[in-house]
Amino acid sequence: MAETVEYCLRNVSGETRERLAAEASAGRDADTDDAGGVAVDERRCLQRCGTCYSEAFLVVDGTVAVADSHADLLAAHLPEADR
Amino acid sequence: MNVLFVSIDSLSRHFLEVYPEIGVEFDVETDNLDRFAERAAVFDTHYAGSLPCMPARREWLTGTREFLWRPWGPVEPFDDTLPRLAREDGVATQLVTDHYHYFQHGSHGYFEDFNGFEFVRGHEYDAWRTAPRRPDERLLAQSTTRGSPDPDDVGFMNRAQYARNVADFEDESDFFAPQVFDATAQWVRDNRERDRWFCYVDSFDVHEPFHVPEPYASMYTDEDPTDSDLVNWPYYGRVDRGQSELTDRQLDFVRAQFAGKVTMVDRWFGRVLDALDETGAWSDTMVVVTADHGHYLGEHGWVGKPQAPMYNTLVHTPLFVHHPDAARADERVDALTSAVDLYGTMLDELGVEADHRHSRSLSPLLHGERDEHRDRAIYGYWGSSVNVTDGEYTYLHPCDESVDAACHSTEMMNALGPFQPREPEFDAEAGEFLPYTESPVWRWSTYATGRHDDPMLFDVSADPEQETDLAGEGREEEDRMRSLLVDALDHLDAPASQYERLDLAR
Repeated sequence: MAETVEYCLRNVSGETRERLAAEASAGRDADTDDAGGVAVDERRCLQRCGTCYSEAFLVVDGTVAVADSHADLLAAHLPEADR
Repeated sequence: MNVLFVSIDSLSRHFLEVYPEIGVEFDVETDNLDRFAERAAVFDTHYAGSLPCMPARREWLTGTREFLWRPWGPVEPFDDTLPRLAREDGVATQLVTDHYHYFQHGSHGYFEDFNGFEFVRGHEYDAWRTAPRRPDERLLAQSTTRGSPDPDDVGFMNRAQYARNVADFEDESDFFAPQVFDATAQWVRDNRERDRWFCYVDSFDVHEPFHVPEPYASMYTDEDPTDSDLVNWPYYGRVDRGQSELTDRQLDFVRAQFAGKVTMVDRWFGRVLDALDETGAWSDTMVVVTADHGHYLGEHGWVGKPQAPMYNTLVHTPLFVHHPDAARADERVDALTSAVDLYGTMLDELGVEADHRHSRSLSPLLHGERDEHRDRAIYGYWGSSVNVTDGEYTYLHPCDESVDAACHSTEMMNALGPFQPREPEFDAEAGEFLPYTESPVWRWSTYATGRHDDPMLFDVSADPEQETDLAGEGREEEDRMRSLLVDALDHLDAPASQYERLDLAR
């Protein structure tokens, strides 16, 4: 189970952003001190521009995770958001 | 009058002894900035405007408060750059810099108008060296995290670039600030016979990576600076989670390396002061020293220049002005001033008559013709929160992230990823959308980025570290500061879309 998921605005579609934003606002943000939740952080730039330019990615617990699509990434790391 | 303009990137003012109200855990040696401050007006209430790097330079060099209209981008065709106006008036102009962003996608127009420019290659991601193929493993370990690209990866922003660029560095003089300030000192000596000159020294140091040679690496820490568990180039974000997470030990080390870099910059800046001494140029040269912004190093739980509330760590910047004839030549100045004001100031002191656009010259303040300068200064990143200060309070106003932000430019720049190749904006429309020019520009919308959900208010005169948020308590100051923000937007004739995304009434 991921603890922190960071995503880059430029890398996600509007639909993916909505899913991630919903996750962040669903009481799972670590700002709420929900120890069992996932902190979802949106960033204007994650300084991963090479990866960002070429493929779908998230930063999961500090590590870059890439996949063919954001749907695959969400399924793997945020299954609750992959509805 | 000559003008020597020195910007020191990311120089957080609370690391400077001359600004002691906050301070840090070290006694950071800045002997040369201290001696310069003794012969300069020291501005206590100076604020950044448009952030980060290139937006700040458009403020300084074109007098444009740009963040209400567009993000990081080029000089526009309707901008009057300071070096062009100066050389058209007979002033010799020179740029000395290691600031490689001038030479990247979407940042053109800033260096081209100078009579000469000296570009010191290799800082940060500067696309310079491609060898050695496998750069120093220890340096890479200190600047990368899990999942960082392999050094062989040829994608954009691979941190192996820096390790390659510095692979041949053997001693202190090979590093960036030493090269920049040494070249500046030589330029001052070589051009002493000129009647009027403008020299802009844009030092990328103390910007990250916080990689410094000895003695600076060990000056403020007992750690072994070669320890691969330590970090000299943290990612931006929260210090307590994600890719930017740092242990206390790592954060202490980063702060020590930053402090070491400040001292290294200071020592080589001293070479420039020596050149001014030797040539006697102090008597006919205004010398301006400032920074574009600060850098979070654990303050408020953040590191870098992340998508965080814009605390004063980032925006309350240092400013020193030596002027041979000014009434306030060696005084503290508490009047509220803003980065964009330097454009008009430098034009005035060079004797160049021109429209100042959004800039208000500091010359009347420097010459003792008035004591006050501004009743408000706004600052921010494009497409994000908008902030205002009156010098005593700071008010940080959130944006509605669900409302896209409008970008205005003659160029289809990347609004979110400025270093990458541009892409067409197929939804852009063209028209006369800017209040300060009749030139048509493109206008298109893209994601806005929030920094905080609710307004934030700080009494920075009593609480300079901004530890107590006073917003939401029904204070009169919150209404007053919000009104001040609206006044500023009205005065600048900000786009109607700004009021919508900020939920403010004209």
